[in-house]
Amino acid sequence: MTLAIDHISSRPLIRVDEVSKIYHQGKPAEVRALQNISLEIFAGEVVALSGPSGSGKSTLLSLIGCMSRPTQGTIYLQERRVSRLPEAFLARIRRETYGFVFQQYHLLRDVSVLDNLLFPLYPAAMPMKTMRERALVLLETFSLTDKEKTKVRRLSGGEQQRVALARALMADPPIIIADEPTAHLDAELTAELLTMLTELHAEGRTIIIATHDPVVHQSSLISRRVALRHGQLADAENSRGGQ
Amino acid sequence: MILNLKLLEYSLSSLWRRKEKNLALVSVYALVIATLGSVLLLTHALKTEALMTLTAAPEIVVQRTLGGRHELIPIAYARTISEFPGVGRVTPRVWGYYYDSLVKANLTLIGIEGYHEQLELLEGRFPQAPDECVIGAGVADAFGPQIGDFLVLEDSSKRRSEFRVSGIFRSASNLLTNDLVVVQEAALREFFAMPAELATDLTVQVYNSREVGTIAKKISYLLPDSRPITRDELLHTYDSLFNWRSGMMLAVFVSALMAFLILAWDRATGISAEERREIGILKALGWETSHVLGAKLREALLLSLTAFMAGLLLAWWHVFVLGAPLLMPLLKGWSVLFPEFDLPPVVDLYQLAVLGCVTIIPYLACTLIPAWKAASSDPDDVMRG
Repeated sequence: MTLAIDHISSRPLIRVDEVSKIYHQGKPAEVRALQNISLEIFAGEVVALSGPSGSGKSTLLSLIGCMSRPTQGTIYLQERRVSRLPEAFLARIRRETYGFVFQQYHLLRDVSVLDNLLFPLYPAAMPMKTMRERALVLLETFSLTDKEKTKVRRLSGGEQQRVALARALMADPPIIIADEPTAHLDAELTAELLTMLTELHAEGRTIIIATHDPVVHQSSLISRRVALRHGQLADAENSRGGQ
Repeated sequence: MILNLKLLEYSLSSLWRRKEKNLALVSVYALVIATLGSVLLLTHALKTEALMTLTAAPEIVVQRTLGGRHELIPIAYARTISEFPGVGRVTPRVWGYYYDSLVKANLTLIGIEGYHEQLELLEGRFPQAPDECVIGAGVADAFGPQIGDFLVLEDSSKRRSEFRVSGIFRSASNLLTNDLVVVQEAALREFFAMPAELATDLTVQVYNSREVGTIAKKISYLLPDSRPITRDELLHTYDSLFNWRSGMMLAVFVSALMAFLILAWDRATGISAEERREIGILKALGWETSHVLGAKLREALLLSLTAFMAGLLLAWWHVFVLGAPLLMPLLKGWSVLFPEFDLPPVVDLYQLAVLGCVTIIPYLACTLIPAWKAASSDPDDVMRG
């Protein structure tokens, strides 16, 4: 299920329809992470999800990124209902459509930079040689060529951030999802990251960022801001945008 | 094909990343397999050795029993038996055991007349005088005499008899000759004070191997105080004996295997936080549960097959190169003068297959089930940190 993104379509690229997410449902530890969220994201947008810790930003990113299924409601990707697809299809969508940059980077620390980049493409029908070539191009793009064989645990925070971003681009995905990408970066590295995201946006990618970093929110990169509070949209007007 | 190779590459790199832990696991695993494998290889080799030895044995050995005990048999019985149709040569044998309290060893003394075709000499010649003997290699080692020296034995009345060693045995199987002392028949009769009309037992040659059972029954019928023992019965007895002994040992070692499997299960179910995190990351990056399980299966197979092969090689080296020093006393029997023989390097593929099944499959299960549980969870856990 490869999704060709139609940039001129008036239909939303992603549509979140009345979605709720409850963790540990029916148990004493039940958590209502999201309640009746509706949101549309169009191709080429850069959407910033904001809100305090526990407001549901990461949960919403997780649902949009097909990493979990909503308890209620439906998620559409290019008008295809993806929230009820079998796990194997969701994995393929994650692999081919999304590039993830996690808050904790989630790199394998005892593995070389190059190997970390290769992981997303192992299940793909692509020869190892092609995978390596693509990874080397990205390492050069992110000024990591000299770190190719270095283990991730020996990298600085900024270098790890760049590796995480390079890994997210290995499958050349049309959508980038970033969860608090500047949480561990200083001002200089934050500016560097925003520059890189701007370049990715210029290539036509849709970017969804969850952050409460004001620097990111004030960046000219952001085309729309969506605020969450207590698992609900704080500003319903901003849930529809793009057009 | 590409996917298979890539998953294999991932598995190899994953094993290499945790090389210290995996090396320790392979070592313990290989040791367990080497122990179990040694028992199986040794049992099979001993059975094969016994089979080789008994191939040269007579078709039927006839003993006489009295009150359920082995008694000397009248040589006249030989004439009766030789008249049965299908029976070839019937030979009275004179032999007995001799216990030497000094070296605490049992020797087998045999009296022969002339050259014995089944026995080959390493050096020297068969006894040509009543005071000469030929000895097995084990006797030479234990008592020290070489050709030309004297072997001194005491009979039941404490009378000392001296036999000059005229030869030392070489045989295809040392099991046959190791504890053997061969003297002339008349000399042995004198040593054991055995009457001339009696023998220890009779060997019966049967022309047609299909008639062995029938002839044995006829002997029992016509000579009710006799006990014919066929070669097949001897083979069966050896088989049962080694199976029983190896069964006892296997029971002990299987408990060691169980302990290992419990350890493996504990390790696998307590799949480390690092491995769980790795599986979560791979899932988040687009790996399907089947990809994760495929990679883990390859890891487990590589590890268990490596351990299996290493364990088998270790068992082979222990049994066929070193002569199984750790197990031989338990399996070989009661004799103090153990035969020092080279075990025939034979392997029962069925036994190896069973060993592989009982060691590899449980380990795979111990590894894959927890990996499947970890891989089945939502990658959302990764996203949420």
